[in-house]
Amino acid sequence: MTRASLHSLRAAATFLLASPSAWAVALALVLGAAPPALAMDFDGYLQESIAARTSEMDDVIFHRQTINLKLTDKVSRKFMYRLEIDTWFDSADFIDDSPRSSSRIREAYLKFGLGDLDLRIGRVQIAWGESEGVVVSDQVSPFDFGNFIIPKFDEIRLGVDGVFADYYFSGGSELQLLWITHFEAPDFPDADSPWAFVDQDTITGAGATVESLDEPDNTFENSELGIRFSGHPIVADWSVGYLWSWDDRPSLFQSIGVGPGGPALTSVTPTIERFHLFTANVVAPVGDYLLKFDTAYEANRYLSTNPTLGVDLSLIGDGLRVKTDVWRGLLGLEMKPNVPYWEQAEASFQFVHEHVIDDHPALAQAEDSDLLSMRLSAGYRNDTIKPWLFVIYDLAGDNWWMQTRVDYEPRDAVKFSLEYNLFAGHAYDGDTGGTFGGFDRNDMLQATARYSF
Amino acid sequence: MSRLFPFAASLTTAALMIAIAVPYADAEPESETPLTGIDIVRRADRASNASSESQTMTMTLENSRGQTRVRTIEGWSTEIDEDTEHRFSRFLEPSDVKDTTLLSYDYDQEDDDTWLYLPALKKVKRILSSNKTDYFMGSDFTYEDMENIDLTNWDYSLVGKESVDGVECYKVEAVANNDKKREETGYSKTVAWYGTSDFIVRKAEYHDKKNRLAKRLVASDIKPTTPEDPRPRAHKLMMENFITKHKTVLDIRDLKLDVKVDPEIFSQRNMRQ
Repeated sequence: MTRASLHSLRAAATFLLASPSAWAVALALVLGAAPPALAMDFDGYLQESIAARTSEMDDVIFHRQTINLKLTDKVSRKFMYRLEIDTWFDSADFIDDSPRSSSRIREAYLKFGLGDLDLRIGRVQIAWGESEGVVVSDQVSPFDFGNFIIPKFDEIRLGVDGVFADYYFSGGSELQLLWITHFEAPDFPDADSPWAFVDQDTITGAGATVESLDEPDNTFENSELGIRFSGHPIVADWSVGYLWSWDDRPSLFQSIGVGPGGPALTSVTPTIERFHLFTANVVAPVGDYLLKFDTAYEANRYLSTNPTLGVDLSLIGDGLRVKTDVWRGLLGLEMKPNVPYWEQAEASFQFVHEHVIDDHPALAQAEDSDLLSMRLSAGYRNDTIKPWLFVIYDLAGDNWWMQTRVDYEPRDAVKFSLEYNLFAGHAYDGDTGGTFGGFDRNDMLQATARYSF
Repeated sequence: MSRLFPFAASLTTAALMIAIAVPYADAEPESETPLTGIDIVRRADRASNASSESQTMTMTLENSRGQTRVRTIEGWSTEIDEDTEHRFSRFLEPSDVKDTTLLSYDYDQEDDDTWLYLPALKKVKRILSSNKTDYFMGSDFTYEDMENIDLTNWDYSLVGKESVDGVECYKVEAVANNDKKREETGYSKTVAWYGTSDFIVRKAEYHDKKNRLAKRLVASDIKPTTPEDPRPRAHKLMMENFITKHKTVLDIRDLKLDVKVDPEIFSQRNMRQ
């Protein structure tokens, strides 16, 4: 047995143990699917993707082959099941000099239609909100941050395990109830990845250690609950939601000990904490435009502080973190410009404001931040060539990201993509900068080939 | 509600339900007074109307090198009132767009309300109506070719009679008659050939804003929709684009007219099924 396959088995076993309920559903689906039903669909894709940092072209940041398999069986109008699995193989790169493989279940659920109620049991991807490329109220399903937010928006969302009920009222409105049995962490980058959110060198250089992620135990009392009510009248789509959840964005619990020179940082532990999420969205067509409003109020969140900006000893009990509420609001505009030579034109603009209710001078993020985003896309030669541009810019400066891509689809089911990601700025320094700027060295050229079947 | 694009081509499709109008049962007896252009178009319009439709359509796109791409779509439509129609369509292939669904409420006088469900995104999105001159899904049909149209925005002129594939046809020209429509449309002029006895469109030609012959539509496989329903319709449409050297062939099957359609089809719940 090769080292790669051993690694693969270990990774699979680790995943299986970490997500027993999803695998139980998956196993039930596979066993149940043994005699193929008439309405069974089996599809997926094979994808080859390679990316290199342009600042150091010999740095292959990743080289991945992905197999995506989807099985959907609409047994009857009242019952269906679905299974979607990703398996991928990473060649050696500059982060890890050995090849690796892994697998995950994106979705695995049974769905029952009970009158006006749809009930899903298992692993499901849940999408809330109207934002694009930025997170506002879309905080139910975790994301794959293994390569930051480089994956396409439709591939980055992961599943959560639980019971999901959608009730449809006769007027067209819907009530969604969620019970997520346990916290499902996002896929975070490896500690030595260029996408790592925690700057290990700075911490270890200060003589402290970085501990592994502290996440909630898989117990009943740690489950998550949510409710969302939405409607789709002609004038506008709207929704309001509430989620009692665990925060996917770990805060850094910093332990202080007494060193020879006085208090000193001894360890940093990324920690997942409870919080309350309240959301509201509206999308309304106005003339030739689509207006979007998406807002989230996050109560009792823990935010990290940066000790270099000042240590507040009153925060020691909370691991030098600030417990506060955060409000985020998005205003968006979509349009289809009628411009010569811009075929199949689409343009989208978003303005996102975030405000930390209880500010602290040592916060590792700004009290207020304003982001602008723009997406432009087109389709040429009967939609076989599709250019795309997406930009996020922090109005405070020194923090922006631009993604450009061209998709080429020469025939059905075959797609080639060439993509360039440009980051500019620096990490937050107490005044300007931010997450995108912190990845300034990660400008990246990526090529992808996909065959769908 | 008129489903004619400038002519009785009846490209009824926001939900991608494209079918040539074939006024058969409703065709009025020939009157003593000679028909004008608008008379011919109105007759075709009346006869082509169905209160509801369902069908499966295979759309084959072929480029100048003969390479083809295929999309298969199933769709339903139902008339809600004089000015409103609900349409639903689901992509069956290719695999990368499979289970994508589109729901639209089409209005004669206003912009449509449209929702799109992309399976990979896991959510229903309200989207803007497309520009009328945009092409639908890489085909050679623009959204304008497929929309419900208001006959009052066009001037129709009967310019003569010609034979198409051995069938005698009225030849009718249409031009936009107001600035707003002239601005919106992608065409300076369209010409269509209607069978003189059945008012079926056999052929249509589309001239672009530079007055070039840009596209030609040919309708064929004209037959009753079902053994029980004698109303004939074209079951094959070919749109050839002379500018891009590209063509699109629509093969329509399982076409049913005036069927009882479950209102639940036109729901967001159904989009996610």
